[in-house]
Amino acid sequence: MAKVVLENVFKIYPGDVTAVHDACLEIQDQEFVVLVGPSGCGKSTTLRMVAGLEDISRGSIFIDGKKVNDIPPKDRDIAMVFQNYALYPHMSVYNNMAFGLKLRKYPKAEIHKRVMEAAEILGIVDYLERKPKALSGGQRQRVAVGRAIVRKPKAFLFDEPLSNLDAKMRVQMRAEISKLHNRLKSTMIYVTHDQIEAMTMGDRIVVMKDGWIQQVDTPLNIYNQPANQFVAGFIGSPPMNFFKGRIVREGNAVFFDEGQFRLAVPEPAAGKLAPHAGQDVALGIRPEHVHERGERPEADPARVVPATVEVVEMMGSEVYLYASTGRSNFTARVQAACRRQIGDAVEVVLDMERAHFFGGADEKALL
Amino acid sequence: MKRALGWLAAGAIALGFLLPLLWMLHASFRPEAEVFTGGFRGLFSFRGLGLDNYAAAWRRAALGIGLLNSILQVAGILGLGLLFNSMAAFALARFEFAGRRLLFGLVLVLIILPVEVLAVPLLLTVRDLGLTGGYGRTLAALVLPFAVKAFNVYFLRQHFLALPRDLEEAAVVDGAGPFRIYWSVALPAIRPALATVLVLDVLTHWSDFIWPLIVCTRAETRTVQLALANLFTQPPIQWGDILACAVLVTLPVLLVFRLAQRHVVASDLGAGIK
Ligand SMILES: Nc1ncnc2c1ncn2[C@@H]1O[C@H](COP(=O)(O)OP(=O)(O)OP(=O)(O)O)[C@@H](O)[C@H]1O
Ligand SMILES: [Mg+2]
Repeated sequence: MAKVVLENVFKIYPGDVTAVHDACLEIQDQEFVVLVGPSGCGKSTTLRMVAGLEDISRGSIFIDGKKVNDIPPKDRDIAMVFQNYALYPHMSVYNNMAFGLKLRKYPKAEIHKRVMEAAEILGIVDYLERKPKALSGGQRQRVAVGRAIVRKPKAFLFDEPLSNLDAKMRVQMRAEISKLHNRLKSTMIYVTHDQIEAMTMGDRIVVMKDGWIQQVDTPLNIYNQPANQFVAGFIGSPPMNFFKGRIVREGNAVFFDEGQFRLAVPEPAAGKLAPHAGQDVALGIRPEHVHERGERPEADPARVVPATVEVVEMMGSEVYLYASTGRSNFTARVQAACRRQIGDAVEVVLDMERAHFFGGADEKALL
Repeated sequence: MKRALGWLAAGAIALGFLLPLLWMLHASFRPEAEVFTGGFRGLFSFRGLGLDNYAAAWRRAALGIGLLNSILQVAGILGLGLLFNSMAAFALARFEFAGRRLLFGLVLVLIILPVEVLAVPLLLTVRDLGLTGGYGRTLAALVLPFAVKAFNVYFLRQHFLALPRDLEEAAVVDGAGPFRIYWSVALPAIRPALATVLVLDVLTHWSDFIWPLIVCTRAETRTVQLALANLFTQPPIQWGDILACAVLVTLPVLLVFRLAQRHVVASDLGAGIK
């Protein structure tokens, strides 16, 4: 139960590798925060600095108001769940969970009570006497979570705990960890490279890239108002489409000119984009905001894009059309009734109200 | 068909290796006068088999005390060695300290030096330490020089290095200090490697000859190998006794091997990790 605060935290590895740049983050008590980003972006490093497994090169980390830079992991009162479970192979499930409590010299009865309680919550009561060897991946990860729970720590740290599980198990454990969070009401920091896990589990999401925090916000805000093109492309599946082009102003009207087609930008975006006239930008639009012309018969011709179908993916409830305008490729999520074939010429309508524009050296959102 | 031929060949080779041992075992039960009669065909003679040779060997070679000495010697080497070698190995594998590479380099150099080269300097050291003469002192002289072994340090270090970091980090977060991690997490995790080292050490030191010959100056400090050798030089030379003694000296090693075999298998480490 604690607030975790990162203040201008840097991690510089020997050889001048800066894995984390100037991270500032305030995680509230009882909050579930997910760090997400592509491989090598510094998520684990950030988490490990909170755990105390890595030194903090610069800046400070506070847990529950106390600066922990120089406090060893065992005195930070945190628990961590590792990607590889990291169970002690020679100990029974019971002893795996009890180990940390024994080291902290808890009375036997208290240890027993806590282990049984955790085992109950996680549904592993039947395996307490087994060795990790005799457990499935999902059961092992439960034990690893149990080992964290029994300690009743101030904060839980998870480093990609589900990535060794198969898809079905992952979905199940995802829900269980969320439930656990509701039940325990403790601070949790969760690292993943899976944006679906991030979207479904986090109260807030921290998107990282190359050691820099890109955006910190609720899942919906991140989805609807990505701060830059990287976040826009990283969160969402299938990912957001991007068209490269230029802002053109004609009188009061503002257009996005791709070269082969031109799209009218509606208000209020037009007003905000007007000052960027002549600038190269990227138009971003999510696949669900791209429709077949047939679905929007009355659409304004100034938001229609001609394209050629390249791949058709039937998802059952809907169809993903992968198409090309000749210069850019994009994806449209269209109705299941769609019977397009590869090579068909189609016209798609863009929901320009939902379009994002990114520009400048840092590809920031312009709206 | 091919399979059967393969089995046949393997069986023949195994028999080839076993034959001298079988012959030794069989002959050790035969009356002294018949030990060599019939060559290998003598194997099928069961006339007059008995335990007389064993009784005589036990008495003449003072095997009771010899076995005790050897057991103490080997147990001492194993016990101390297990502790010291694994601690050194763990430190070399996991601790950052100045001179670690140099130290490890020296360990590697020690591996290639044969005992015979070291015998004289070792003897001088042992003598200067005053470890000669009495029973306890001789035992110390038998054990101490071999308690720490460069190869074991190297071998165990490699196994510690192969342990996943996660395992130790989990222990760190659980609240374990360096010694606790070594003792409760890392050491149990390399049990198969420890068993391997133990078996090799038993095999090596049970058959130690040169070093005990140098330091065991009194009859009551003799190890089994010295006791056995003594039968060759102590008239009358009784081949039956020698063979019986050889069997008795070999048995404990077989026993240890059989018991440890089960542990010298692939580790269950994979289970905790992934
Ligand atoms: N001990 C180290 N020495 C030098 N560089 C390191 C070290 N550990 C990590 N790095 C570098 O720091 C960067 C961030 O690593 P980190 O493990 O935090 O990434 P990550 O976001 O967790 O990625 P993944 O999803 O692959 O686990 C990487 O570029 C990595 O190469
Ligand atoms: Mg990582």
